[in-house]
Amino acid sequence: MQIVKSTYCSTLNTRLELGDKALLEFYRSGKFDIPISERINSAKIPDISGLKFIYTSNMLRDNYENGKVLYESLPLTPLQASDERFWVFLTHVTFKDYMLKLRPIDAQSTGKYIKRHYFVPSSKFLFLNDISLLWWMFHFSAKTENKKDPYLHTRELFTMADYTRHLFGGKIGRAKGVRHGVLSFVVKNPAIFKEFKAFKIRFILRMLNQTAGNILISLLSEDEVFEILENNKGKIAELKDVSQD
Amino acid sequence: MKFEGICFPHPVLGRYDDVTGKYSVTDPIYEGGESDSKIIVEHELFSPVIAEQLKKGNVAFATELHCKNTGYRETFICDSGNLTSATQHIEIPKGRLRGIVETTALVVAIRSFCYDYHNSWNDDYKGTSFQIRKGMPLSIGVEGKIDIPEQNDGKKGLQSFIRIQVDESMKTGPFKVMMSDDPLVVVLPRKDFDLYSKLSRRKENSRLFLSSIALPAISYAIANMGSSDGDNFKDCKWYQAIEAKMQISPELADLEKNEFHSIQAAQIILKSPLGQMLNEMINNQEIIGSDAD
Repeated sequence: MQIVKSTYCSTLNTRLELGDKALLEFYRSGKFDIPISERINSAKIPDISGLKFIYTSNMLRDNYENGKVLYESLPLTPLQASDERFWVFLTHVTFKDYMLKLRPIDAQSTGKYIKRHYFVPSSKFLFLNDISLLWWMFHFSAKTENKKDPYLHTRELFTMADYTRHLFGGKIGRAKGVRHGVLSFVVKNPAIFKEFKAFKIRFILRMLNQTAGNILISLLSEDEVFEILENNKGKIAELKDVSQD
Repeated sequence: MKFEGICFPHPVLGRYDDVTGKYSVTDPIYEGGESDSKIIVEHELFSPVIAEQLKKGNVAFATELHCKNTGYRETFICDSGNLTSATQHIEIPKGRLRGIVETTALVVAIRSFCYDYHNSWNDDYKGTSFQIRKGMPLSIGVEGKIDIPEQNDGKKGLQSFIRIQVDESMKTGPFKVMMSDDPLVVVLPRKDFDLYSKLSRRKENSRLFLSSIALPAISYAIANMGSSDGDNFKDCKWYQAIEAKMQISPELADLEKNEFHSIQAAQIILKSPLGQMLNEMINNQEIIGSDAD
């Protein structure tokens, strides 16, 4: 698979940051691309140039299906998947048409907007870039050891856009036991989350954050986090988002 | 896990004067292997009350690793050692870490138990006992950082976090430093950039550029790291690299990230770029001089 040369990637980032008019026009024209001379071959990453994403009105379902095909086609290490050059190639070349539907670039689009959606200038953008986000959501939620249904938790993740911000927005979701414990609790208690789901999940993460204040939460397993939530099941079930009344 | 500002319900060695004794940890050492990476941490403990819990199997030496760049966060329990010391070898498959890895070493509860008053506790705790749960620290060590060398291109250290770019809209004028980018970008006007491109190919000029470009750029970045906007750059690799160097180097330990100390800190980080440049110039002159003889 090809990736973007790091100097070219950095030049684009800088010129967009500086609001370079010529470059902005290039993006706004829709003709942007990565010139052949600015690409390098990465033998370690499989070629996915033939891959196409679906785009319908059902965003969450599309994201799940697109994420699944991307994740299964790209057995990357986290080190490879945190490399901006790779994602920039995908947003500019492989999935350019998809990106232009999802994040259209028009006469008003700023350099900042293009950087936010088409680049990954730092690790927090891995969850803002629409292509890398899909891979990382699968990476963080798939359980390859569960041969029968490795994506049980992943499907739950794609039921609500808020998960990205709340579960992966902070340090707490990086602990494997926490993210799987939370997702497992939601999956096993559908009745509790019929109403005010986003509100209840925010509450759960606040509660776990408080717990993490005096215990090393990354030491806890999925089952132990699940148990903490089970012990607070009644309280979680009774929660109501009064702002929605 | 960050310990700053946290009050624990139970006495913790290393927090104020809760418990008498000592727990120390060496700076973590990184060793890159063919298929995995190794991180070595040495724990040393002098505390009879905690040693007793180690003996019972209620607590263990542990190290948490956290790498923001790859979302990796895991705690490793040390399964060797004795009641006063342990050398922990943590093996991580290659491809999991990139850049800065934060480490937290501690003695942590690995199961629930009742922690009864001991005469090494502060008198304020006299007659008390605490129900300890898995994950609660009994002793905290220093929080450290490791800078994992880039595995893709072999680049290492701070210089890989600075990049020189051209600003096509400017022919001449002062250079700019872009902090919102990763790496830290120094933007030169077209004319200067062309000259720089030509001259930077010659190895002997590298020290000159260290002084004239890298030094002011890093100094400017350090000054801004300590400002109210500093937090905006925390995810950038250049920020993490500078911060790690400031924490690791004893010469930098007393310097703050602000405009008053930034120039001094930048010189230490870049290993006296002015001195390096002057030596290079003297050497060149001596060579020229000897040629003339």
